[in-house]
Amino acid sequence: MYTNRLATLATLIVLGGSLASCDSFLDSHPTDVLTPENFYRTSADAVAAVNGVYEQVKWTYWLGFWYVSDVATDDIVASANFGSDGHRMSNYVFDALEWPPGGVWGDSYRTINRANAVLDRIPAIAMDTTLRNRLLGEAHFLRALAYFNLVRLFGDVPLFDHEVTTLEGVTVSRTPSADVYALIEGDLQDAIAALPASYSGADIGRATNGAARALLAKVYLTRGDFATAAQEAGAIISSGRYTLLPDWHDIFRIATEITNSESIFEINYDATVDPGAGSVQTLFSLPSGYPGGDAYGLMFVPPSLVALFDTADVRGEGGTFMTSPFVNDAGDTVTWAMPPGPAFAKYLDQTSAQNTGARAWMQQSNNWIVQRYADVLLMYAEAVNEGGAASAGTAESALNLVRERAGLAPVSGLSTAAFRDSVRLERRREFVFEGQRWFDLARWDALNSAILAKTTELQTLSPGETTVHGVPSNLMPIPQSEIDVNRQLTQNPGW
Amino acid sequence: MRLHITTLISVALLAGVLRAEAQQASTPVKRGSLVKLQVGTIIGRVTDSTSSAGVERATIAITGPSLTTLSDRDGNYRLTNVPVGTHTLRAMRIGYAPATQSVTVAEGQEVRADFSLAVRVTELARVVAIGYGTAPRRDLTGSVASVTSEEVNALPVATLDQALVGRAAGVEVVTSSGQPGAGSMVRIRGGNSISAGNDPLYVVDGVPLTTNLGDATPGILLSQSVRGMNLLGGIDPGDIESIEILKDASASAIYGARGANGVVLITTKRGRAGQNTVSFGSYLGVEQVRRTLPLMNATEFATMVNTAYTNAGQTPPFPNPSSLGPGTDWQDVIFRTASMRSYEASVAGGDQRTQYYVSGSLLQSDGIVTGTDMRRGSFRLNLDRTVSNRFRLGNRLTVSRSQGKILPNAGAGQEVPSVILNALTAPPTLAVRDSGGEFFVGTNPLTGRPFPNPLASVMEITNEERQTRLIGNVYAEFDIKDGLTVRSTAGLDFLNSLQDYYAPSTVLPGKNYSGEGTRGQAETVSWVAENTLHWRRGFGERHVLDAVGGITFQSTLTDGVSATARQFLTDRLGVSGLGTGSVFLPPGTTTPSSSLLSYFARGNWSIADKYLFTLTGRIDGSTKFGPGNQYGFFPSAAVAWRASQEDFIQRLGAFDDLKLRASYGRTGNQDIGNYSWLSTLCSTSYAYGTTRAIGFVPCTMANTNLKWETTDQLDLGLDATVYGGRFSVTADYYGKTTHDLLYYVPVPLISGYTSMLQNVGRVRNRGFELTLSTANHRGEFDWGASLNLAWNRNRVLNLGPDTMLVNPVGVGAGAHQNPTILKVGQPTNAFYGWVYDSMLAGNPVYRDLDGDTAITEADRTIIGNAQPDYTGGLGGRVAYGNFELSLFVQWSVGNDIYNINRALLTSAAGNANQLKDVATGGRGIPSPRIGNTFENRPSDLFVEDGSYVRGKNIRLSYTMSSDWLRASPLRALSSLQVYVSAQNFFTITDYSGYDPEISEYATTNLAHGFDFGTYPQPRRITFGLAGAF
Repeated sequence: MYTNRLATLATLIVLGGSLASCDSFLDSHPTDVLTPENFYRTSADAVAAVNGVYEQVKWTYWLGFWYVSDVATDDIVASANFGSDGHRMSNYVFDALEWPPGGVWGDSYRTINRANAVLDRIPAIAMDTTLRNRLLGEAHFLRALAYFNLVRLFGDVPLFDHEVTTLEGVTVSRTPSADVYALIEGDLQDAIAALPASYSGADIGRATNGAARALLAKVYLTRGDFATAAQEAGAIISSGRYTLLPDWHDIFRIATEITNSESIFEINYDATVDPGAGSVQTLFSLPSGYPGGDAYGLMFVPPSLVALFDTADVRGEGGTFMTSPFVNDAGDTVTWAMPPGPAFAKYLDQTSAQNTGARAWMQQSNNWIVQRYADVLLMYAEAVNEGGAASAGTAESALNLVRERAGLAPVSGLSTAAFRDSVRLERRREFVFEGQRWFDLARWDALNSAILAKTTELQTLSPGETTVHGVPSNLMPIPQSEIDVNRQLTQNPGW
Repeated sequence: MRLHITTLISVALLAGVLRAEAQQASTPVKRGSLVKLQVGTIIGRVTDSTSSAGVERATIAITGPSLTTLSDRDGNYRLTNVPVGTHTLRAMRIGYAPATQSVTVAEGQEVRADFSLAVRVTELARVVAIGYGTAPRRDLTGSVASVTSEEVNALPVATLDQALVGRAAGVEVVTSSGQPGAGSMVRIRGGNSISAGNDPLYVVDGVPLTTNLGDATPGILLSQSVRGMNLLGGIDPGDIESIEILKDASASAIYGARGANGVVLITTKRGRAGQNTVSFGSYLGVEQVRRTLPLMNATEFATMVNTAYTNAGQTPPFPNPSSLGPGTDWQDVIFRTASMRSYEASVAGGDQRTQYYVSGSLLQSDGIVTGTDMRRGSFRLNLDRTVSNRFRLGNRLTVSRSQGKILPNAGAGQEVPSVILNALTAPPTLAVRDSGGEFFVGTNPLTGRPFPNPLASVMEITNEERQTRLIGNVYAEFDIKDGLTVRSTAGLDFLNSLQDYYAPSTVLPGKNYSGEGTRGQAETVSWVAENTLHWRRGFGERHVLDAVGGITFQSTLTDGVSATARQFLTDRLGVSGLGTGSVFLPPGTTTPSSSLLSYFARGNWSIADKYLFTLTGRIDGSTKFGPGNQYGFFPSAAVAWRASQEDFIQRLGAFDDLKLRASYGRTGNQDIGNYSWLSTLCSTSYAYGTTRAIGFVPCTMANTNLKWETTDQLDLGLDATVYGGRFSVTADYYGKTTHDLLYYVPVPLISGYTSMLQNVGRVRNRGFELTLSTANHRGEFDWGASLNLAWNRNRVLNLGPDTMLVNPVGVGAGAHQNPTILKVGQPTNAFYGWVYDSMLAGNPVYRDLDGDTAITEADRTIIGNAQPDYTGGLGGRVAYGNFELSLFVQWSVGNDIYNINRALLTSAAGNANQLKDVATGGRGIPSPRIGNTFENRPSDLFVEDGSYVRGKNIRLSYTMSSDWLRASPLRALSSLQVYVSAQNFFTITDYSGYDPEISEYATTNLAHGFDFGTYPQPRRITFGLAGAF
């Protein structure tokens, strides 16, 4: 009887198992991932999609970008603490395998694809049109910024203006830079039309129409269209929206980042509210042993650059750099052996507890400044001097605003050539380690001479480090890994 | 040690108590006087301990006087003219373990002495598990290797995979590190896959195990490759009755979509009717590191640093290096002599209708690096009940709790420490502790950065995993009619893994965050329901059909969560006080799930016990693939000819058994992540001002065409046994091709994506396996030996649109990041780099292979391969009287190791400690210029021959004679064995690192053979005892 009952139970289990619905068993409705099919439906989705574009820009500028824009120039020399990649960048002996140019390439195209996804999908979402237009404007701005970096670094680059969803059509050849610039200009015009002049509350830090216009001015300046560059830069000056901060040091105060009157567009790093995503340029550039936490001492300012700063220049000692022994605001006398020369002081905000008391890997909130008003003034000065129409004062007055804020005497009556030298010198002094130098040198066709001078100086600074040499070209190498997977791509000459 | 002795005494006392009760029934033996020519007779029966059937032609002999006889067809024997007195009587039969007992013969009387012989493992008649059933080895048509419980337990191992090292031809086991409880890489007949799993499917008593580390453990430990403890660690090796490894398609196709990498079937012990045996065992092992590396002492180091500063035009920091003496030996600081302890007890037995096996075990294995360990407690209950003649039910169940302290190892250049690397590169000029006795974690004056004190890291950082595992099933079997049985099984694999990490504010990396703590937990529940129908029937005299078919459902769900906090007021609460932090990282949660629905059938048809045919097929449906590609069909066919049954072979009189086998079939691999075929969005974050905003972005490209990897395999085999069972040979040739490889193909970055999972390419593995064994006994001598050899040739045949993929996997660091290549026509796991030529002014010069006068990417070439040319194992045992000596030697020939440790220890940067030879030049170390100008590229300078021959185990045991036991205070015991053994007792290798048996990235498919801060294997001496009553 007992046996029969057990046998019956077993039979029921067998039948039950076999009769269970087989079709539904393999249904896969993932509840722990989002797919395009269950996303892009609401205004919140649209905002989140744009947030994702900013996030990619954050990683673009986080590290690899400034290995290219500043380490690989005559402004920075790698110390013994720097890794071999830093030395190759500093010595300009890298090749198509080097990660920083490859990183900027990959990060930029990821930004572009995310922006394209926004531009393709958000128009179909039923939502407030004002908000939608603004979001599309932000995507246009960020896409233009990414393409601008690409076209300046690599020349002709593949062009995508829609989201990639399959591999079909991905192995394409390089698009002439003129076409890339056409897209950039169109994007920025769209952005200028769609974006507000400012934001409030939780939106502070998003791209404004001023940012789009300032970028457009830089685009025209880079292309040698000085008339339009002067016009766009002049429009920003005339708008009166931005002013130079009286104290140059305040540009880098964490507490007033973005909100200060000189700031136009910054990449915001905030290790407090966005932990695990802090910036690292402070940690890398402060001298080893600087009190208040870790400091790597990876780089120093070459004597030739130190010599360019007058003693009266607030951007010199204690501004851009510091020399051991250095007395900081707390009264500590700091000495160091690494780097073996003047270390960077630029990103040290002595009023920030993070900078002075809790420095650690990705724990800093120092922003990366993409555009500030001083840049607009110097662009205007440069463009007008090269033939652009003066719509917002003289070139001289724009240049002198920057000089006088730094504590230098104004210039006057310079020839076009002398003024050109003066504005170029001012750009160098103003923007050391701010992502400008490599691009300025490349568009002035001065990269080769600058690297020749730097490698010559290295013979005494760091004997045996590298030979005296120039650069293969005014472009970076196309990443080898990209050529490997896409035979349509050709390498830039000289690499 | 004291605990160990106490426990042994307790076991012995317990044995005494139990035995005293059991002895009441025994009768005293009358002792006769010893007079010449007074003789008696011994009669008895020799039976098989498993089947209780009589054993024919067993030799029964008494030692001393040469008297022997043979048992008859039913196992009965009669030994006459035995001198009066007490004798040691011995029964022996090929295929069985010999047995002895003490017999006292009285004049003119008959004394009865029965023997129950246990089957010895090498026997062809042994019944082996084959997946959804069993079969006698002689009836197999496929390639199945067996590892017995004797072999598993010959070595003191924490996890069963380590017991497989070198034991079976074609089964390559590489332990990833010496961390107690670390996982192994197991490859059966080479690696088929490039990016899907290459590990075999493990099935414990019918329950397929979850071994997907990515899903099953939260992975928050400070460790790059050893993501916590081995997922096979929940099984006590002492409970294992046998392990069968299904190697060819005929054997593994019954597991269809999960069979391509081979299948490891683990059968645990069960009780036997009639016995009620208490068994116990314990051992104590003492472990040490095999060797330490010859690093600079403080004087040598300071001299080198001075040179670096002088070369850089700076003032040397050490005015008087010779005054510094030897300084701190950091290797000596972190390595220790460690112990490994194990205690096991089991009770097994039952009557004709109910059998039980109950066991418990405790293991503590301390690592040779201070502060690391693994502990496990486990419990098992296996029950079998015959309810009626036609109905049986039972269960298999084990519950275990494992915990391990894992050595932090996050690689060089990381902000988190790798303890081994830090110990190797730490300046010997620094002290372990400051003058106050606290760990020195201040600024390293040579780098200006906080000093990652290796001992402080390992002592102060919490890096632990705790696993609770339950593996079990219940089954019911009903005989519908003779030969037709239905079986229903419900199985469960439950794993709860909890990982704790806390780095206090005093040491890196916690120092960076004023303390950092994380707790992660993942609970994986995998259930399986199976119904099978088994039909066995003879047709006429000559035909036997044995068929099984069934349906199974399996579903796996993991729920994972982790939380991280930073900036603590006090470190004293550790992970327990996560809520007292000031900065909280976003919590992480994961909920991956997958299901498999399968139908399978297998038929074995035997004609005249001479011709054997097997057909197997399985249909698997999986949620891991998109609609239209969810189902796959995996068939196989095999034929075997038992030539030894043919008259013309039998007339030769040489073969006890001769069988030729051939099989061909298809198996699959679906071991990829969930939702890989879908386009998905990933979450991101960005801060606007001081507000954190979440974003969602395109993350993976959809591939609805994604489908299984399939492997087609041919196997040709031969099994032969000759000379009355004294020698046996098994040889197999196999060729298998895996196509539709699942691979994350690098896509142009311009797409906005990095890679896409696709079915591309083919990989081929071909090889030959040979196993020779012999078992002999002559008089008191009993000896046996087994040799296995395996050659595997692996080659990438096709990579879809590409001919090669450089850096296919993210391993290594710094200049030695990803020095690997995947190239058509080459084996996987190839190292890729430049060829070193000479030194020029202290800098290395590489060969300009393409002759363009510049050293570029085009000058890289294949500089080595981690795969061995062949592997082998040789085991032998000799028994003489009560002594037994066993030896196991294992080797690997032709495998290369990429030694990143060596690259770091010869980079001559001038602020990290280096090998002594850096100062003087030495084997493979050209004299570099000291200072940070040594261009450190992936090159053959760092590729070394990793071939080795290793004495894996030597073991000497002594079994107490029953006479001695009876006369001793341990008379309660029925058997007692004591032994001493040594593991890794010798190693012959040219490899310059700690240990050649190493693979830092064992969990990858494409980057084996890296030594990079890897925890080295210990060598060990073990003392143990085992007994029963």
